Amino acid sequence: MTSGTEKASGKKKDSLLQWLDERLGLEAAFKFAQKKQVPIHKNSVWYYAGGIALMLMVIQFASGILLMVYYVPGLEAAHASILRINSQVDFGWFFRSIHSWGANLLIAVLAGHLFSAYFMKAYRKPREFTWYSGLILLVICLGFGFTGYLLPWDDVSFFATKIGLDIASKMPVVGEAAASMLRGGHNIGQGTLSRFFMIHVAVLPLLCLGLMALHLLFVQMHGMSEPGYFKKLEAAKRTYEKFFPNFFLKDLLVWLLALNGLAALVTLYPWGLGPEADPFGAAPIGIKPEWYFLAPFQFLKLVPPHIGPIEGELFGALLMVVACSGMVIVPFFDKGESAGKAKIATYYGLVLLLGIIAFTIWGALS
Amino acid sequence: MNYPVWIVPYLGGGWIIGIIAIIHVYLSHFAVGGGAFLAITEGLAYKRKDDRIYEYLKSHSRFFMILTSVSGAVTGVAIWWAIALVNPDGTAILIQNFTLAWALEYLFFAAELATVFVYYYSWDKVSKEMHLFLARLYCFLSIMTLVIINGILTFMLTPGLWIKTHYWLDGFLNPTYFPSLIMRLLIMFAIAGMYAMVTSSRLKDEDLRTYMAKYCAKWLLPIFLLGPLVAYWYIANVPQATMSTIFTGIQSSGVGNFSILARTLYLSLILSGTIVLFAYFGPYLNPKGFTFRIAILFLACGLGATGSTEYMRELLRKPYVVYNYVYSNGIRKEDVPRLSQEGFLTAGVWSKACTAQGENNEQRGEVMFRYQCMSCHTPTGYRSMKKLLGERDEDAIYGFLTMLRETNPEKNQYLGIMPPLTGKDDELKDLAKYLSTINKANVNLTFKPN
Amino acid sequence: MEEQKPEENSEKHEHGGCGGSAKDSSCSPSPCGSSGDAKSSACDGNGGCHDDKSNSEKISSEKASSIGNSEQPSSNCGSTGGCGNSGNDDSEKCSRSQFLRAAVPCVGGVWALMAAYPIYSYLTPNGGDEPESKVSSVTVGDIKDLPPGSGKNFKFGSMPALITHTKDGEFHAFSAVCTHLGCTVQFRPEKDLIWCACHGGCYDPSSGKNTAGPPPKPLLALKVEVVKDKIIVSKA
Repeated sequence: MTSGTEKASGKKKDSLLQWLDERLGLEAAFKFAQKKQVPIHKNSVWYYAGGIALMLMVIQFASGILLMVYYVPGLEAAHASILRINSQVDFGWFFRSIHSWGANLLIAVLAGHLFSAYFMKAYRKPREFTWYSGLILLVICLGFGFTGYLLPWDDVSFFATKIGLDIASKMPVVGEAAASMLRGGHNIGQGTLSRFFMIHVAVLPLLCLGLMALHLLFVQMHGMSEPGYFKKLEAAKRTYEKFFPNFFLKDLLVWLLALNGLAALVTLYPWGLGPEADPFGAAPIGIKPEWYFLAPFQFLKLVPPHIGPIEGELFGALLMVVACSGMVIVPFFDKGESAGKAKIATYYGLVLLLGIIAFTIWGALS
Repeated sequence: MNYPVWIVPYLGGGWIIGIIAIIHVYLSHFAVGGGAFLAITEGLAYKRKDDRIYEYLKSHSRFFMILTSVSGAVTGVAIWWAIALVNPDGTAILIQNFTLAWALEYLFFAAELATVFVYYYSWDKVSKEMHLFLARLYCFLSIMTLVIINGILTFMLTPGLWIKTHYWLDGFLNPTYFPSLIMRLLIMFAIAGMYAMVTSSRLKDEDLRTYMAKYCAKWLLPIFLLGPLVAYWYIANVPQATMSTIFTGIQSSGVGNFSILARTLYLSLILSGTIVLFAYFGPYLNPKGFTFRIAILFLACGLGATGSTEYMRELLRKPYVVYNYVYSNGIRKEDVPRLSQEGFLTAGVWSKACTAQGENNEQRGEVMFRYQCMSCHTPTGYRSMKKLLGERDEDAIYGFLTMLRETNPEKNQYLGIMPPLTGKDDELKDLAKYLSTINKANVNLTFKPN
Repeated sequence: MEEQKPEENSEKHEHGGCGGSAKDSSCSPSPCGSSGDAKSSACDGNGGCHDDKSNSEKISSEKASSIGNSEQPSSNCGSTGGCGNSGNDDSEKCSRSQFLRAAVPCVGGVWALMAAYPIYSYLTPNGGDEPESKVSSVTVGDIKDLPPGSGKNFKFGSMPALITHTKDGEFHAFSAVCTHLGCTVQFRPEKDLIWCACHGGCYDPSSGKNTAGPPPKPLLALKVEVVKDKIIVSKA
């Protein structure tokens, strides 16, 4: 639209543009945007995942800032303040629901983004850093989920945090120290809430913003990754579309659709609030973590309490770390030189993905 | 009371009507808007002497005919079946008042169906002028079906002068008749454009596809420009009491002070807003990039907006079928004091017969439940009594029921949501007894693991 | 339908869509001038593109324009986002697209306002959890604790208040909110006056009258009663 209006409009606009260009280098940015291309192939649809994640992230930041206006991170006040947001503040339910639903959608979209990039082998040279920054961003988002879950201070969030920290404390060497640092004491209480709040609203957002900037910069530097079969096509058969305006306009549509989906969830199924946490009460029956932590939760349930000399939970956690470490070493394992290694990487990814899905479903049903 | 009722387990009769009606709304709006689309686009094809548009219309009209005449007609008739079965007393009142309108509706409907068949099967068989005439005739007839049924639909929310005069035209041309008619026409044009986007996105010829995508996007212009105005006109004519229920809430528990009604209103606003942006950034600015998949998603958004708006409109009417006249369980407002005094069960032909059959209090209570509660509630499914009764015992239920019988809004806060209960004390006791049996099953269930 | 559109155009500009969008500049009465600077290129070619005029032209030129459109898809408006660039001569087409270009931001603005309203409404304090204090009287303390020539700040509901015991033995109570800029005032025994630390406003300790400094009005007086050696302050 910008380019159209530009041409159709009079001199006034041109001079304004020139003024801006001399100071901001718009011309170069436009040229870059014009040059950027998006390959068209049967898996092009996955290129939208990153954009949706970006949009959801922006929504999370905005709604999170709004929630902070009324949220009070105090032991006595936290639950009451969320209750107030939900029931007394105008549109409080709306922003709270957007934040909660948006968080869940974001994790889901990121999972799709991660695995689509993985199976399209987007981690290969020269995109290793893009891949790693993405992995870290996913971990950060899980951290957002874990810390944010405690903040309403309702009973499920209280026990989920308890379980999560207990598992963390089982890790060798640093486990106990890290868990106690997060917990801010022996028990979950004001210390935990303050620390989680600080991590959720200050530490993680800073990290996240920085890494997102890097991640996007890398994507611009290297362009869109093309899957192997697409690269092998002869030049005439490889079709591209311009990022700007063609892909960008489509991107906008997908954002609008995602936004509508979010709006439907928010308005039809507003996020509720459980009863206030009672540190001395019994854990609610059938307590489960959020769906994105279900897979490890279910996996740990399976591990017997002791395996040889080591504790079961430690063993299970280590096993999971090993299982996921493939994601980290894959850029150096599958460099695109050997078809066999590429196949192994694909199979590994499939097994991991199916494993996670299976454990999540199992966890949800049990 | 006077007719047998249909028991739909778990889902409840309301949802049967709801599901059929939702499908029908989508199809019928498409049928009317699509009629205008076909007629105008065919005129355009002749004017431009563009055979490709003509060919496109041919294939589009096939899709159109199957969708509207077959599914649309079936669901339309199904609605009348369903409401007659689920809420016979309310339906009887509608039929008795609008016999003439009803007959006219069927007349236009039959003529519409006949025309669409002639229209579809006469492509290339009659002269172009003749075919265009058929298209316009179909357009006219389909709009006429809307003109008629709109009177009956709007009557239910705003009966207007009819309440006093009981003259059918007063009810037909009620305060929201014209805003609703225009609003629906605008929605119909938009939906027709969206459906046409789906079919035109399948076109092989890229030039034509691009042209059609833009052309279809323009069908959303009328609602985009006039929608807010007409919506305001409509809302200004809706009874104030119902508007205030939007914000005071129908269902406020747990999710704050926002009723499902207000939330649906926001959803409908958000969806409508994004649809406008979508049409602009999508098919209008970038018709080449408008693919089949996006068109389908777009259509889904449009139908979502329509659906949520209709749902909201239906909720507005609570707890009436005909506002201020008949309650949603088919009981006339004016009959309420009499029924409470003389007894409910003996007042209706069928309920009297059922009661006579009933052997004990519990069975009489069940008859009460069927006639007074079941139009909205089910024992264990949708709006489950089991859940709503919670841990109340028979006495507590009876106490609650006597509260529901109050017709003074200060003593009965449920009046804005639910019709008042009617019946003598012993009838209420029977009902309480029956309800407590549902409740007992509930207690047993909670002891089951998980 | 086609013939109707220009009418809608004009209607739209007169009322409707742009209302409240704070985009008055883009809602000027002439539909063409709506986007100020966009006027120059295409609209002038049309010679004023008013609705009535283009309405009659529309039907005939509709044919031409749309045919031209489909025959030369490369110059299609949509693909580049505007029609001014393709240099086509069907001015009617342009006036409509120009109208759209003005209308979309206009209605888009309305929509943006609608989207911004929840945020505005969310941030507007509704005082839900801090109910306005309905205190009508407060027991300040014992006479013994307040000898003549002294004063004391206390809480009167949610309002700060001040009681003075002047040397003539009378008790006086005031709202301690300075009438200048709302600081809390205090009693200065050494100068025997009520004084505001923020800007040095002075009040008379027995009447609350503003005697020096910036305050424009006297302090709001409260009623004092002594019942069984207890000082009770209530609203005057």
